[in-house]
Amino acid sequence: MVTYYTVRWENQELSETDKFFEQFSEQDYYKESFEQLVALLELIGEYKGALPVFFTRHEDEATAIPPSYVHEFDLDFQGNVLRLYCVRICKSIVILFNGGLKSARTAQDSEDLSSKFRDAKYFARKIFKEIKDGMIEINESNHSLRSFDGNEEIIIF
Amino acid sequence: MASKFYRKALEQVPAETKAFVRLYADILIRVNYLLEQKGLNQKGLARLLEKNESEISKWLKGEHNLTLKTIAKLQVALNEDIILVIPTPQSEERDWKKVPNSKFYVYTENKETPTNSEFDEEKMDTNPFELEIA
Repeated sequence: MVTYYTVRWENQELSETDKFFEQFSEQDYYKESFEQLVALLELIGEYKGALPVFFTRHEDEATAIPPSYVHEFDLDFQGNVLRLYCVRICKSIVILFNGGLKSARTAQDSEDLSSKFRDAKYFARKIFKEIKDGMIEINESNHSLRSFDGNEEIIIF
Repeated sequence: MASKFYRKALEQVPAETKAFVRLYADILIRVNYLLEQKGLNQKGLARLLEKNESEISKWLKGEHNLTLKTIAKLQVALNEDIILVIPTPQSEERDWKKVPNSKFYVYTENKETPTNSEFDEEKMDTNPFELEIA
C-alpha cells in the first residue's frame, strides 16, 4: 500500500531509519513508545495508506510521527516520547529519516533529537527541491520514485 | 414472544445493553467456531495465551468484559480475525497533478508545500545522500 523510502549518507553503511531502529529496538525504557511507532508504520504501510491525518506534526519542512492524536481512528499518541522524522510525498510514498527521544519542549532543545531534526530538515528541503525541479519523478500508481533519467538509484548532491 | 410483560421488560433494557449482549454473543460464537476448526479446547487456548484455564473459561462463558486488548490477543493466538470494523470511505485527496498522457504526477502547490522563503541554498551543506527503499 505504501512504499517507505529512507535516506543514506553516501559514505555510510546504515540508512538513517535503520539507525533509528537500531538505537531504540533494544531499549526497554522506551519500549512502549517504540512499539506504538512501529505499529503505526505498519498501519499506514499495510492498511490505511499515507493519509494526511497521520502526518499532522509539521516541524518546518519535515514532519514527525507519531502525531499527537488521530481523531479519525481514535488513536492517542500523546504519551509517546519518540519522534521519527519523515516527509509524506503522496498517499503511497513516504520518505523516512532518523528520529530520537523528545526530552524537552522543542526538538531543538532535546539532546537526542536536535541533530536529527536538523538533518531531517536538510533532507526534506533537498528532496522537495529535486521534485520541484523535476529531478525526481513520482510514480504514484506503482508507489515509486525515480530520477529524471529513469534510474531507480537516486543520489542527491 | 408475545407476552406483554416480556415486551415491556425488553423495552426497558437500554439499547446499549442489547448491543453489548449481541456483540458479545457474536464474538463468543466466532471464537468457539475457530477453536473447533483448529481442534483446540479451553486448555489449549489457555496454553497459547499463557493464561489460567479458569480465566479463559470466564472469557468464553461471557463472565468477563472482553476488552479490545483481549480480543486482539485472541486474534493473534488463533491467527484469525474475530471482529471486523466496517471501513470508512476515504476521500481521495490530490497533492499531485497528473501529467497528461503519462503515469507521472507533478507537484502542485498546497498547504503542505514547504516554504522556500527561509530556504537559502548557499547556506546548505552539500553532503550527498542516496534515496533508497527502506
